[in-house]
Amino acid sequence: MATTTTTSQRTEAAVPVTQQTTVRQEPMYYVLMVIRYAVLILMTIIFLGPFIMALLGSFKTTSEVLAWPPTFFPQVWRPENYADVWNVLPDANGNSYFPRWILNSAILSASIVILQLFFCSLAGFAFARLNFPGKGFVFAAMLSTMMIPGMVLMIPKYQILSKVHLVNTYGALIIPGAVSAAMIFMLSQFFRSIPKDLDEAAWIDGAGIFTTFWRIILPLARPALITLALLTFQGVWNTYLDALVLLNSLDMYPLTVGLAFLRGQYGSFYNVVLAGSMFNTIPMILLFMVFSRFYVQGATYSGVKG
Amino acid sequence: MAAEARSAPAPKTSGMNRKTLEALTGYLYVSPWIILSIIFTFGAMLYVLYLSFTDLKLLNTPQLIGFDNYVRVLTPFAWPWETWVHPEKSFFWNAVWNTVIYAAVVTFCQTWLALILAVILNAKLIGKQFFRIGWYIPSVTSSVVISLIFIWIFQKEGVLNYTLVTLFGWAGFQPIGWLTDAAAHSALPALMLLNISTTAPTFMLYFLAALQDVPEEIYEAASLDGCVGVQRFFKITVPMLRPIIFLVVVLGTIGTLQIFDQAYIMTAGGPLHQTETINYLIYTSAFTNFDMAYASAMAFVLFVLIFSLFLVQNRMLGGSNTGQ
Repeated sequence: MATTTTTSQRTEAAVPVTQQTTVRQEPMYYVLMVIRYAVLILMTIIFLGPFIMALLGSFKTTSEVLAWPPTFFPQVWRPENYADVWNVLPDANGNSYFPRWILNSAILSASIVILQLFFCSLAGFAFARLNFPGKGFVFAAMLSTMMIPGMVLMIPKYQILSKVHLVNTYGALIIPGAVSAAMIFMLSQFFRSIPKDLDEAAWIDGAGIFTTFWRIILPLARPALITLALLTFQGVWNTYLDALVLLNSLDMYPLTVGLAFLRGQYGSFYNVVLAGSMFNTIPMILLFMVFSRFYVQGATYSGVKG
Repeated sequence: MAAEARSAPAPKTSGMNRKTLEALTGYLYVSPWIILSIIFTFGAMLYVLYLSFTDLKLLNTPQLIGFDNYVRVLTPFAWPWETWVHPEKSFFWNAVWNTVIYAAVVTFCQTWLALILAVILNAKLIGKQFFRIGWYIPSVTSSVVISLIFIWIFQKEGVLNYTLVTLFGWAGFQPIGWLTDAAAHSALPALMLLNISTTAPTFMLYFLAALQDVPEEIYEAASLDGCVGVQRFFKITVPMLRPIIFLVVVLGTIGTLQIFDQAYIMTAGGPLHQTETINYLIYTSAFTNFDMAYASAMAFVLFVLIFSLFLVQNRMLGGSNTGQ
């Protein structure tokens, strides 16, 4: 192994550590690299295999998708599956429920994202920048709510919402979903990283608290806000339990609940079920591909790196 | 400078000083969260606790009945046939067993798998960016879609059986009905496999990101002291990653203890209660059997379980909690 202990200070600086890999290595290095690539490929097959099979399965005929032995590429390509699932389950007027399900998912996701962007950034700003009595207590209380299992709150949530006749409405999901402790926490951590001099400068120039928030801090927080929007949109788009409990008519279901229902009815037409699943998954994959750097960064805002 | 700034006329304070204005504004900004959490979190917790001491089914007026629900939840069966003779006796302990085993195995496996993979792949490799995006796909997929896909994969005529028969058929491997065969007790392991393979990649990416932050000098210094390979992994890498390992374990535990979607969609708690988890039991008691008070008691026991586990893990692993 090439070492740097015998070189002088100056040459040490001139030779970056990475340069070591261009020197001819011991055989062990190449063995390791082969192992690494083998693991890489094997893991990709294991982790992504089911999803690739599902995508291919969504183009197969009904008999082929359930055949033994299973095939990889479809022998006959049947993109009609996607049209089939779009028109599945006609209601009384002959309109299909499937597009309605997608619309419901979109409405719920968009509304909750907008509300959370507003409320969570205000609260995060307050925790990061403003001083009010009992602030530490409120902050700790907020963190503690992140540990409560969702199912525990589902029963009282249902009772409370049914008493105000909000069950089976969009409001049943939007109102409780308007704030998120995790998002407030993430934003407050991010706001803390913005230098306080900016606040002071704004104050000297005569800006009020809200103006400082709206005009100075918020624009600087764009990456964190984008992360919030993406994570929250994904969370609501993929939600299941809350919608299952609080919505109970076919026309109000979001796509996830609809798909589960679909499988109950049309389980023998798994190619159609898989095609329907793609409507739920592909948008999220595309979103992730375009904005990928914002997803992993979200974890670092919460101080994961310790 | 600061003193001058403070004595300059403050805008729009209408007579209040800055400190009071700040306090009021602070509370105003936090008020949406305060109001919503008083209703839907803290109030809800108290309401669940209250309900657990009543006899609420769905629409009746709840009457207080003391600890009856808790007795029913916590009393185990004496004999298996009691489930049919006394159906009101709970499957709670069965569910606790299923859930705890599931959580322990999945958390352990997914954490180690993610860690080891991250260490193996922490090198200059071509196409790393492509893999990083690809491996994240399971975690942007909804649990419903994952359940639907894996129902199909786990079929007796499904891809998993085909792969295993191809690989191990010579040893006499026969296709298993993973989710349907009660005698094989394969349903819960199938769910474990599903979860490990869909959450390990995400955690692996967390670990990979954290590994980038480990300074190269530490590894150099260690190799000068003769510490390489496996020893380096345990003595250097793992301690340096302690905060994020703690986070992954805690997230994993809290998440796996609450498994519901897969148990509900894929197996409906079956076959023969083998995949009934605590959350599944709470849901069906409350929203299928309309036995809300009984479900509330179970829910509260679950809350105590998760909370105490969190405290234990905090004590044992570490205290590098999120936040500063």
